[in-house]
Amino acid sequence: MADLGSISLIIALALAAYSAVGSVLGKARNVPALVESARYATYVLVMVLAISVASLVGAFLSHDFHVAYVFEHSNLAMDRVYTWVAFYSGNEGSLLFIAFALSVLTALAVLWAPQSARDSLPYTNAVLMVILTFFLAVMASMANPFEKLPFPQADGLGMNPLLTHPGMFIHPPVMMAGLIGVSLPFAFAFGSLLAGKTGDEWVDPGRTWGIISWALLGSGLLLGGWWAYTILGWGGYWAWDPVENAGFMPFVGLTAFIHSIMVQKRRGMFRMWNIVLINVAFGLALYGMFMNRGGPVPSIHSFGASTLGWVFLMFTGVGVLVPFTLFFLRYGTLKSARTLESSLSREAAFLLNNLLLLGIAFVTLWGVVYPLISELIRGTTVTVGQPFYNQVNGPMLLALIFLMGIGPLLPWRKGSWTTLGKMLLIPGLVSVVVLVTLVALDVRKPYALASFWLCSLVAAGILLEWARGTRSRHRQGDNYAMGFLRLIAANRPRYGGYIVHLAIVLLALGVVGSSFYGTQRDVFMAPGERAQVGDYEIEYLSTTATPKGDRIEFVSTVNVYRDGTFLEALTPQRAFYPDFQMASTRAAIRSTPVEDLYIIPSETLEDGSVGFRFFVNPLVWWMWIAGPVFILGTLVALWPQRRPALASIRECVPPVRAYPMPGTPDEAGETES
Amino acid sequence: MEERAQSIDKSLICPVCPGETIDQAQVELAKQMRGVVREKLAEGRTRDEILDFFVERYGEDVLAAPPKEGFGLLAWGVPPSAVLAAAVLLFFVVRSMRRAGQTRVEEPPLNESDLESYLVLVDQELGLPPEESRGPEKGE
Repeated sequence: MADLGSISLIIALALAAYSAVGSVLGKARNVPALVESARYATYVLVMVLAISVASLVGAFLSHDFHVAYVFEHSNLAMDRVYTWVAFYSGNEGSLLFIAFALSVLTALAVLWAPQSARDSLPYTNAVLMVILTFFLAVMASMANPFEKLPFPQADGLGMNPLLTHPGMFIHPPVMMAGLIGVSLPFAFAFGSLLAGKTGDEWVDPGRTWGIISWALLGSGLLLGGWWAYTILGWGGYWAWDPVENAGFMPFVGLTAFIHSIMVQKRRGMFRMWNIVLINVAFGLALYGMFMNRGGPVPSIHSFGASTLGWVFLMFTGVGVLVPFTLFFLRYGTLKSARTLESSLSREAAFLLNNLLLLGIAFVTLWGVVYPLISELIRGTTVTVGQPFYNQVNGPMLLALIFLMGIGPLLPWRKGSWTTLGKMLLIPGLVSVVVLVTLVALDVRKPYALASFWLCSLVAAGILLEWARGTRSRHRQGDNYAMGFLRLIAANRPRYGGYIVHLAIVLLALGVVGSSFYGTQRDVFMAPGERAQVGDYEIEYLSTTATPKGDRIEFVSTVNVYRDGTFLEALTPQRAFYPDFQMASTRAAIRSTPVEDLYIIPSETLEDGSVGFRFFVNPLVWWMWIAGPVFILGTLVALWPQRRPALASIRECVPPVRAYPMPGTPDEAGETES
Repeated sequence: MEERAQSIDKSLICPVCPGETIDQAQVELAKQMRGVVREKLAEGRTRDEILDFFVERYGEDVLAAPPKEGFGLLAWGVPPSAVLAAAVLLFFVVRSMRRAGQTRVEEPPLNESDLESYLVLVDQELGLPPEESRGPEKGE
């Protein structure tokens, strides 16, 4: 089994190198057959790596403890279902997963590349294959997941118990696919530069794959937050720790990119800037992988970790320097077709958005780098933690939400203050009403008030525009529901974007509510005792201890009351893993749109009393709702605007043009009669 | 009182579990430190005095963020200055872009004088003919 994986890994390495060299040589020397054979190599790679993945999964399922990786990351006692999680709980398996994900994404990108990008596709393919070759070479030489121990072992060491959580089935793969997915828009940009194409050829695939990897990263981060919230047992979901930041920075960089690329798509502007942005995002994604895999993060296995870190750091350096060098070589040819006309325009709003997002990415990077600077200059280590990020990134995130309320209301090219004022009138009034209501409800913290005010401004602005558009469709004879759907379908990037903006508002509600109005209490309770937390009264009943395979599970039962009425019985859990001398908790959460009651047991004393930690976290519920809304918006924005797919809404979509001009009769007009 | 204590807890890193503040960490040491924080608050010590006490014992990296003084100003000062510098740069770039734009022969600017024309724009995006029923001033 493992030998098969080992062999297919070597074959994959050869294929990737061949595909990279072949497609460049074939294109440069004008040998179409070579280009085509390189393309097939890219397709075949998917199958070869699938064999590798399957044999590693097989090794886990058959408990093949002859394989070092299986020995280190699983044991006989663990639940079978977590085999897939064990697969990427260490460096070697993660690298294999990343390589597999990259090969799948590359094959799809090559297969679906639009006509405009076909000419530079061999170069795009080559860029991706060079990246893949790097990962495969690292695996083959220093982190082989199929490496064997001198002789088979009877049982393995097992997997970190914190990873036994349903979130772990999706969070790591989605995150890793998102990080490596940034290679695709980068490869389209860089590939077209290599091919000497300096126009907008790469924009469509760049935007599509940019949004896909951005959506993967966003969902991955949110899932990670959910995992932390339910298992890490401190009542929070985000701690600005180095690994979280490593995933957050490329997400922020990509957010800037997918906004800015719209300007190039619609207006042919910001050509150079978009290339810079995608290079930055790619560099941050490489850094993210470096942090997570082989970076200075403590890991249970020391095997080659430090060397792996250096190799990754070097690759990150190359991945940033080479594209920037090429960019400067091509600098003169990258002139945009148009230029900015007014500082009150959608284009200008996008520039401001980029400034804020890159600012946030910079602050985050600075927080990561500063301890190193301090150590170099002063020789003392310092911590840059949550207070720093909250205080510095907080205001910028607020400004971003404000911009989210204004930017979409501005027209392309040139807006006017009076129009903007009129359009902001109703959302502004709504948000003031919200503000006054909140003050009346005794919400007094300035930060929280400002956040809620801005959130309501954004939400009201979006909903108002939907209402207007729907009414306009209704006057054309559609019923309201149909009119709304046609409105969305008619300009998907725009309305998909609005849906995502609403998701961000929901997320912000949860973050602000829980960080400013959360309460926390630690209590030791003997059976039968009661404790007060917020409006809740909690009665502790009993705890049972059950040995289960690799762990002992302690399940406590508590009754929750509010105002004297019984609400429900909750069962917070704690499991102790003797092999690891480690405990993992599973919080009991009573989640409502208003607030979460969050209970974790921390320890059991000899007299039978249990230490509980209680949280009341307002509005967290909305954060998890934001996830599906976010994905829905992304799908709407990405859904291809092809005619066959639009059969149901007939020809209400104008042919794609750079910009609809007022005054000129619309040629699509004749269809609607 | 408890609120002040928790805010101090959030500013102190648990020395034996990197990355976690003492209000998050569940280990014995964090528990003791939480106890010390409450004791000292009860004695009437200020927040700064309590933080200093822990810095003396465990070194500067016990603080969750660098102090806003001395060398620590570098940590707090660089991000806002950089963002501000970028904003100034952006301002000048935009200005020069606009000047370059004005020297060109331009497409007529959009008539965006009122809400109605905005709705016309929405209709155009939808590919609809301009609507007559929208009022006499819009009749085309």
